[in-house]
Amino acid sequence: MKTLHCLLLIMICLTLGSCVQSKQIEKLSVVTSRGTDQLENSEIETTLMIFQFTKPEGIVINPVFGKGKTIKGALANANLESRFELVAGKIQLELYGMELAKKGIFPYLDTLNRDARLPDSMYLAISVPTAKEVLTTKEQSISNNVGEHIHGLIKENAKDHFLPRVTLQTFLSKYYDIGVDPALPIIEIKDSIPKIRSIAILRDDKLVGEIESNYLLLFKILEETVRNEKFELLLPMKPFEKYLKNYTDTTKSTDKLNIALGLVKSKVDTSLIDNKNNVFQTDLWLDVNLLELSEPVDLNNDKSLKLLEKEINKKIEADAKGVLARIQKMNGDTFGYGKIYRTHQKNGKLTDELWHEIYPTIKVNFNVKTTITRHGSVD
Amino acid sequence: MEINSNIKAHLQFPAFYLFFIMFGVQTGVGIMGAPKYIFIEAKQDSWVAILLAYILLIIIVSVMLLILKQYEDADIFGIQVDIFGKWIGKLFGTIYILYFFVNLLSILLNYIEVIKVYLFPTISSFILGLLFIILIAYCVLGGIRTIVGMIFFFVILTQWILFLLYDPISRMDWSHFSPMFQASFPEILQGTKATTYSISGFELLFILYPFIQNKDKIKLPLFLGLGYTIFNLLLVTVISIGYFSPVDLADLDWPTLSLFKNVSYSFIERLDNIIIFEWIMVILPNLVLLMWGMTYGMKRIYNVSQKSTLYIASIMVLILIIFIQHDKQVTMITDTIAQFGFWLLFVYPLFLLPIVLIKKKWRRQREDEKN
Repeated sequence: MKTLHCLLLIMICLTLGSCVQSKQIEKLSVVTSRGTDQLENSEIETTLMIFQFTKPEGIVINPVFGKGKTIKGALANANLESRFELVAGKIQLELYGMELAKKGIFPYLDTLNRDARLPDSMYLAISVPTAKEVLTTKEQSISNNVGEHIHGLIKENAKDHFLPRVTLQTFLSKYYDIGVDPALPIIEIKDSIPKIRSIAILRDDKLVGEIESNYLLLFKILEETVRNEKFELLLPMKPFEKYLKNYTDTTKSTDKLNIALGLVKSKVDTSLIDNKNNVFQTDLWLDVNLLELSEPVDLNNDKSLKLLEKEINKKIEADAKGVLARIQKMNGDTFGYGKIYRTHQKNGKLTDELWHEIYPTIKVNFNVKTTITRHGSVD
Repeated sequence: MEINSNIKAHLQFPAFYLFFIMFGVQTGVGIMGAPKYIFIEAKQDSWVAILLAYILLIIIVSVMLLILKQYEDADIFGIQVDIFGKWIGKLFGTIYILYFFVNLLSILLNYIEVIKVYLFPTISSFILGLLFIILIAYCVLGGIRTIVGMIFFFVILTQWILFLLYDPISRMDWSHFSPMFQASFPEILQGTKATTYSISGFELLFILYPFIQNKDKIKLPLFLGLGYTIFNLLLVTVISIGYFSPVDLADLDWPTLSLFKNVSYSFIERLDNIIIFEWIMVILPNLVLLMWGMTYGMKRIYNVSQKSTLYIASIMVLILIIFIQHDKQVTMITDTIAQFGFWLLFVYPLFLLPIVLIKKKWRRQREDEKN
């Protein structure tokens, strides 16, 4: 009796196994990156980079194109072109064309958020001039497909270097949050290799401007704690002239001092100090190592080291002020001052429209405190 | 029927397992969506609402223990017959059984919904339901000690999911919590009420009590188990509030599952798909214990054999699963059972306690008069 029961159960389970729709990997096209561009007639065109596991030598990579009114419609349209079913569960990168970004990318994010089968960890980026052109670059020096290359580019930059995090989830979180706007990297083709050109400043989901990529680190340290970075600064030479080592020929000294610094750790803290006039204070603590000096400044002297720290503070404060003034003009709150403003309101209530009226008028006092902990093995 | 259930010693289990039973039976599909419902009511002060729910839970469970202690070895079915008489007592017992049935149905429907949304949109509900019912029936046929053992293992085997929360924790935005203490007291109470569906399950103590060997040591594992449930609920709610922006969180259907959508390793790209299947282990203790509670209740009240209740209930669940396909209907059933559960689980014991105490006093007086 017992064996009969067991047999019956096993048989049922075995036959049921065929009920779920089967997906053979040889008969699938796995989409790894997708580019979306605006066409003239309110349609969109998608460029899909796909993996196929058909040939015995391994993976085949092909671009597939599709047109439609919606993302899913364009995917279905692209399916007509492909011999195999397109599956989007492993998508790693979403590229949006410049034209589309100016109109706003949120309508195309809805399906990514709604379809639970898509991962949240995909990266978003804007491409110049169109996503199609960037994704279909043919280049020998890039070993695998361009989508993979760009994904790696953003991933490395996000993890170890400069970019603020730009996954789908962080983008949506910033988009929905009142008082902070997202920023995305802009990718361009330079010498036929995709490269990060600049940071796109968005207001809600619309592109409003760009900031050069040399301010990437500034964006990151103003957002979160950063460790183990390298950066360089250009300081004026004048204040350091009296500390120059005496064996140098003072007559041919330049007026600029190039320094390279290793950031050990940064910390940022912003608070609203004047509720009426909307004055914020951003304190920034930098713990740095000195890596390179273009001129032989004598650092054995306490005063010269202090002076160097002071000059670094001044330079970073000026940079931050300059960048903030520019993004204030664009009216995109990338640094999230609105979040701090909101927490000081009654009930914590703030509307998006109200904040974007206030935002261009806010004043921020940057207060940078740099500490040079080590200056290498020479003075 | 007899008031006391006279459980044989070989069917009893030590009080220690109550920790796992309480956590296993409380945590299930409720916690998948709970952060959303609590957040809608209490906003950034949801954590206060959950802590309040724990205090409420301790009070209610203490009341339940107090009721049970008035009798030697009785469960809720016996107690109700003793207090309200044969007819009303049996009616109230039947309400409990019906509650178990609908609760089981709602858990299954919700989980099937998740599988359809996340993994297989075209799969037939009936077949998924059949697979579950076979599994449930198999466990329930093993008897209460098998069920307890199963719960023990499944609770331990699912704990690794908690470690994966490090990823959303590292991306939390703490400014979502400020300004603090903005919710008014009624809003917080509403938030507390929203937790009821996700912390229901402790009512099974009313039935399991006679099966416990050492009843004097019941308190520590019991309250620790409840505390651990609340801790988990608090954890996912706090992380969800920090991780999702307020507008998004109010829109998401299963925020707890969405927390894992960003976790990815080089050896496994989509860990969230595994989490969804792992969740079977989380909900199976719920399903099995509810089904067992039904069969045992029918045996106690109407003297129906446990096997026949099991088979009939299984077939009924399967038939209902075929007909309830629309996600609006699933939400409606869940909301209804959550509302009803609030009155049955949180309010009813408070009314029962004074009646039990008065009846006991009255009975003692009568015995004194006789002597």
